[in-house]
Amino acid sequence: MFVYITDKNTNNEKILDIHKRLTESDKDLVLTKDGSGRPLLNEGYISISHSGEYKVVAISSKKVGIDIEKHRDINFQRIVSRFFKDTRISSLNDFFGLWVKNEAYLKFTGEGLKKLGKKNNYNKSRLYTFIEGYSMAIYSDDKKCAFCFI
Amino acid sequence: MVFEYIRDLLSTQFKTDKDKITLDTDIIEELGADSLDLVDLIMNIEEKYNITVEDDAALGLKKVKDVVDYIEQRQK
Repeated sequence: MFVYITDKNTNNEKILDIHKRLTESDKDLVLTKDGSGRPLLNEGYISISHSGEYKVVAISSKKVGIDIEKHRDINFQRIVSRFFKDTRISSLNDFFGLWVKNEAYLKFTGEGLKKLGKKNNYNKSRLYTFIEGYSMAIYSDDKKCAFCFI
Repeated sequence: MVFEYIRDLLSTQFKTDKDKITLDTDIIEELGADSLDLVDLIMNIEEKYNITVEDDAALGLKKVKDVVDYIEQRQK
């Protein structure tokens, strides 16, 4: 799996072109959307997320879901009370970790916000906090991951 | 009235000039809302108008007009 971390305004076609060159593929990648707006690739799987100044794009031969969130001041307790009733969250950082792990899982399944807070396997999402001020999570059966800042 | 409230809310939430927000403004594409922004917006609407935004309906709230129409329908 390749995860491209880039400026929010970076064109998706540019990212796909870089991916094609990095993987030395001779096949052009074509990005479309399904009926619910979920991004689809003609070859492999893709998941896209953006928050704040960043866009992150995960491309894999296996199904994948990715989410990134910029840390900001938010009334997280009401969101936890409404959507994550059985979860104890006491800090903003912990909330963002919970959020992106959930979102990554829901993007993996394609269910989106509809299933927010419903019991799911979000805890198997992998959480990354190496971008200062952001939390990012990935859910995929593809365990190998190369992060590329472009 | 509903539009003015939503416009002011979005203006504060996304630090955007009120004059740049119209009924046709796309909340994700133009204001840069992410998933958490959308949930926060929905919760503000629910609290303000004492309504529950159904999960399926939330997915369709892409433009300011969609939000305004949804609220006004619930108020009838």
